[in-house]
Amino acid sequence: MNVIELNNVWLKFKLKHNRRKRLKELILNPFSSNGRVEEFWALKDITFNVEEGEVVGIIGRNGAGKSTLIRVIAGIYQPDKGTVNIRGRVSPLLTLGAGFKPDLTGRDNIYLNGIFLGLKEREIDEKYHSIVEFSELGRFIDTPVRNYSSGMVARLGFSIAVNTEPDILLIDEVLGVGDENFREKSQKKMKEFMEKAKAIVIVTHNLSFINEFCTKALLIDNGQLISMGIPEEVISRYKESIK
Amino acid sequence: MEVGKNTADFSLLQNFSQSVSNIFKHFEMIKFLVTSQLKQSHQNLILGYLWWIINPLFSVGVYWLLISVIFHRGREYYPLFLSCAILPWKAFAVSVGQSITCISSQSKIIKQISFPKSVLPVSVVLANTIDLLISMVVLVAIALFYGIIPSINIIYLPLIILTQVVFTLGLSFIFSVIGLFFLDINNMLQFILRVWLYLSPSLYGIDRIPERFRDIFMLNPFAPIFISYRNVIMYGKPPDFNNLMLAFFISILTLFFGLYIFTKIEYKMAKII
Repeated sequence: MNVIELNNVWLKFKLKHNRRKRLKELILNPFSSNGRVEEFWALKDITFNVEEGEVVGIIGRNGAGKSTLIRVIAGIYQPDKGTVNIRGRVSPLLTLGAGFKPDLTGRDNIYLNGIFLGLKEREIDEKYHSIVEFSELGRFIDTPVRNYSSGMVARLGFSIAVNTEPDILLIDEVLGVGDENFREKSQKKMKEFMEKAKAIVIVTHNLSFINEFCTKALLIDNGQLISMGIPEEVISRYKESIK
Repeated sequence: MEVGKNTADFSLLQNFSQSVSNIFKHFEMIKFLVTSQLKQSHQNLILGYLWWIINPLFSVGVYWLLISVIFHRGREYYPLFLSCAILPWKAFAVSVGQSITCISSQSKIIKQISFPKSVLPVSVVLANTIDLLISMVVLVAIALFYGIIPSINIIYLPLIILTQVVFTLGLSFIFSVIGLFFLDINNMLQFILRVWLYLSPSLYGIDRIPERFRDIFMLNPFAPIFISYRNVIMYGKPPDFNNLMLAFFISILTLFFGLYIFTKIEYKMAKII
């Protein structure tokens, strides 16, 4: 069964040189066309499916549209054309701890972030201890997050996201979190998760990871789907294209 | 999360009813946003609320000094008279001011997770409603200080508060959208709010307005709102029901308009910020 279906997805951004402008400019210059409105298609006619049990790796050079694509799957961007169908709870691991409020404690942030990731308060109550334990934050959990090191923030963010037990996990370049010990632990957790989850979509430049773990790879360039299939073949195609 | 058919060409009505039901569906999210906002702004619980109250009371002191002491134009219980307008006004002004940045200040989480953005202005207004409720306690306390014991008509207070909250919510939706496009709208807003306060019966009573202008004057929801607060807290009278109902009606219209423009822009927000 397909858990992710993208059909002819197009997504555009408007590149107004000053999209968010100042009222002052409007008053002083009401008839100015405020710069050209350039349209930029970040995704062009993307169609692919992800079946249950698949681990999909997305590769491509910087600015190819990989992160935009994963945000479309997460429902953050709505496609301008085409359809997206998702079956199951999605947990996006895009920027770790991005939604954290620095003035609140780790405890408060677990609840706030968990709610945003689609959990109910009761579910967070149940998972709270395993989140804290996995993050290794210990007694720092009642300290405001602004006092955390960047590694601690990332660890907490990772712990919340994987403990939400999503059906579909989306990961954008966040594998190398924390020290050696935590990295090992998180990789173990990922493998454990891969067995349970319906599907994983991952964006990374770590080609050996894709080769080792993914069942399918996608090569994106210039917003277009260039190639899709067995990781080994897609990777060699990618290596050719960047030569 | 069921994203379902995720196209931009949703019919507007469908979008509209969806965002209203989303607000109710995401009750827990709103609850945590409100408590986190309160925790952030009132870190030290008692001192935080104390500052919230001291600030408007200071304005009351300045107006009282100017009008009552220097110009000898005040009236009986003038500080209480002023407070019945200035304290609720503060909750309104702060809500609308915060709504300007409520979307862009959450840009990180908006770009990370898909959720209905309408919970953001709703949480801002609800957090300030808590402050509004506390300021009501302060108003009753000031009244008691002057020896005014609330009459049975105090039961109408929730009706007035509801009108104010609905109106605040509507304007907060509108300004959260405007704030997305105009970065310096706050300067303009502060000016508008000041003029608006002076055009409302805050420093003076309705008796100062010539009879023939009163109907127009009452179209401003804050005219009946301020008058009604005074009626129930200071004078032990029922609120000005006719005009308060008019204000409620205008507030509902404002809320629908606010929700309408918010819904039209909501799916684009992640791209704009």
